[in-house]
Amino acid sequence: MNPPDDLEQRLRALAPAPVPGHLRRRLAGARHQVRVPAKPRHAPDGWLAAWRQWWWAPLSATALVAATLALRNIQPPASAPAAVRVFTAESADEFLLRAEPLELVWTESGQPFQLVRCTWIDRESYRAPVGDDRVQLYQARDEIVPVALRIF
Amino acid sequence: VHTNPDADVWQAWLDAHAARLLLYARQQTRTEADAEDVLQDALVESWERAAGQPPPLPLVFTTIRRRAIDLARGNDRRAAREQPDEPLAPWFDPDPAGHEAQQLLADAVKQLPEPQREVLTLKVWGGLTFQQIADATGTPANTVASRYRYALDALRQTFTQLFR
Repeated sequence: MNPPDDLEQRLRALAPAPVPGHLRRRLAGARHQVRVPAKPRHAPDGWLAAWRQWWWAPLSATALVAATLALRNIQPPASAPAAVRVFTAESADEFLLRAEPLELVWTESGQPFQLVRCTWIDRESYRAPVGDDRVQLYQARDEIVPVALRIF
Repeated sequence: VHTNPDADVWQAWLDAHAARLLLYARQQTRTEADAEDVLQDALVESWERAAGQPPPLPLVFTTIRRRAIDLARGNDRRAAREQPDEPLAPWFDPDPAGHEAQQLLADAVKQLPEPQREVLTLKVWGGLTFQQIADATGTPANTVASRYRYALDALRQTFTQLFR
């Protein structure tokens, strides 16, 4: 950068107009408009500061452990025994609901098989220990059944 | 809980910088009242942003510039904006020696195009670097340097005879 020439020196010799008195007083009072969060007056260093800030932490942890242990020793009130009727299995059977031919397959020995998808309904019957009440359980079951074919 | 800046620090800072900041505020506004309002608001904002410590001057100049722009955009200031551009208060301290050349130079600064005058003011009386001016005005540093050179050339051309 070039050294300042005569013109720059003359410019710097021009002083900005002074602040008028009324504005000086106004700006001086504006200090009270500046709101800065106050800092703590004394911040001790080291372990003492940490202790003062976190003294409650070990107490809280101890209280938490004690509360946990105390709660574990409290047994929930036993519930009243409910009336339970145990049904015993009486019979079980099944019946074919659907048979769907799928495809033909041959074994290495040349025996052909027809694969059939069979849908069965399993039925289980349960009987109450007292009285004639019965419960029947139905459940669908798929099964691929190979049906040997005879070659004429 | 809030606190205020230290009174002595605040006053010393004002004594050191208020005049140059007012000069810039006057150039960025159209009336003396607007300049005073902008200056006060910018000072308060800058000190708050500096956490109650003396703020860096580039921050203050930037804040003055932004607040002046906001003020000019305000609808309630439309009437004020329509007033003549000539400020009511002088920008520079009258030369105690009564040198005519200095007074003419001060008048010539006022006649510079605003972008050149702004760079000149921030550089000469604000004490900012070209990069700081670039940051404050959102202008590339090369452009800032060019504007400064153009301003000096214009002033030098005007006063060739006086400064020879």
